[in-house]
Amino acid sequence: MATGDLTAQDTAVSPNGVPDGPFTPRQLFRLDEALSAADRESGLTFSVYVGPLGTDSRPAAEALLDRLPDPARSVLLAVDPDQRVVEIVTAAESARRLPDRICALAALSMTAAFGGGDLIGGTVTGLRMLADQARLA
Amino acid sequence: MSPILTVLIFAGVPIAIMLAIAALVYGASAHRSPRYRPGRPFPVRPVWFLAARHAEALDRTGGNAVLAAGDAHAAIEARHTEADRPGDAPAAFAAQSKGGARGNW
Repeated sequence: MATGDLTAQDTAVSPNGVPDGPFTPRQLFRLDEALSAADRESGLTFSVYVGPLGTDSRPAAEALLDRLPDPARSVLLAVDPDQRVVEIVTAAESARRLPDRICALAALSMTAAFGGGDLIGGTVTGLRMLADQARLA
Repeated sequence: MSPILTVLIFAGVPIAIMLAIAALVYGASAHRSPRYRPGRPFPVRPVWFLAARHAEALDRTGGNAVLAAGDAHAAIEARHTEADRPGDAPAAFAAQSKGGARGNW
């Protein structure tokens, strides 16, 4: 798994003092497991973005989804911890399988966890909820 | 016993034990990433994760599952210019409405 590549650098602090990433190695392992399981169960491609989205978070998140290799079958969970906003973006095929009300439920669970300061828990919960709903019959 | 030895045994040993316990309690977490507290600034380099098997389909070094999230800013800025090109497949897809949801906390 690629978390082996991430372990060496993720708790380091880059020269300007900004942490290299929001997750510890153990949390990255959980995230990778959740992503792989979500992909496997649903057949869609899930991705998680943690970072600034700017003041207009919705267009920014949609622009990120467009950059993925297969955006029609992808789901993006974009989290901006500074602005405290989470955006779930689906398109075409993934939007058909995950209606907006399901995404709203997942977003609600995620914000509940994020409000308590639990970034990894909220992200994994959102992934599991969406994967469960999009499960291939 | 000499006074120095007395002090060492009766004061030094308990202090040493307390320091050892304190090190065990706090030392393991001293090098963790800073804790996220909502409302306080949380500067972090943007990271973008895909499951490991998809990383190989992308042209990234080392099959790393973390995309070049630094490019995310370029993508967000470029969105407005790319939308002006008609007939371009990515732009046409970008113009379609997307689904999903948002949340605040």
